[in-house]
Amino acid sequence: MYPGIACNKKIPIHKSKVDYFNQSEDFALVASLLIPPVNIVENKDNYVIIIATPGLQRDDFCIEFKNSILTISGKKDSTTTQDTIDRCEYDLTEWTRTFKLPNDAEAILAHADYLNGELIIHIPRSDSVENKEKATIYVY
Amino acid sequence: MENKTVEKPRNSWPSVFESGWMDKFFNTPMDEYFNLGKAINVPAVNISETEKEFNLCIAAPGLEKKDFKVDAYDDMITISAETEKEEKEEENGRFNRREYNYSSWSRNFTLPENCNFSKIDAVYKNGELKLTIPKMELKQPKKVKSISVN
Repeated sequence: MYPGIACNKKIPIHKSKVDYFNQSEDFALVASLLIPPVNIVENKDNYVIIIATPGLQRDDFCIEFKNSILTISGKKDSTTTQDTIDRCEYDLTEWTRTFKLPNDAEAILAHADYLNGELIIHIPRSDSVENKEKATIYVY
Repeated sequence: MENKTVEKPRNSWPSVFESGWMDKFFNTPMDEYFNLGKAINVPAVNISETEKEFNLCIAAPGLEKKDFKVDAYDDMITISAETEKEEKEEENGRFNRREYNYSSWSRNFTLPENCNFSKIDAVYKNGELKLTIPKMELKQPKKVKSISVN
């Protein structure tokens, strides 16, 4: 397992209930915190994707959207100093997570905030959506 | 009564079979071993050391300054946090994926002797709680002078 670039399979977020068996694609990477853990909340009007990315700045993110696939990646300037690291339990220097959006997610109107180490992406829901264009979501 | 001789395990036998990791691997439930279907609920910590200080970085995103509590006892430092944000979020919607939950946790660390407890500094920024623990010089034990008995 190479700790630098952690790519993983697409996660469909339109599951009707929590499907633990489907979470298995990247559990080892999430458990060792080489890619950030994600919470997804679903309510009447939108989907909210919350990603725990402590230690990153808002410029470090790249959120792209194409063909109903949302790709979120982060890259931090490596802070290798002369310190000796005694214990390393997390390393989010470079990672990527992808999500397959459900049909009613309108990614063009999505917006993202970064607050207290959490990247929060709001994706509105609507009935008629065409998610074929490529778009970039900026973090505020 | 039958006498059985207990054979001593061979010393040359590879130690991997005795350390218990295989036992753990085969007997723990899958989900527990891989953290499957279970949210991460204790934050991860990076610890580094420089000449002058120790740095603790605790990855606890989504909290606020007031949620943290840092206590230093004799040679132990306890960091804990609790937040009420959790319940509100569940009212607003339903989780369909949950990989982390840092709403309530506590971690303890034993510090080395040469730490200066009175000057520990803590900063919460971008979801990371950074503790800076300066080092200090230990007092040298007094030199023992032997006195001859006349």
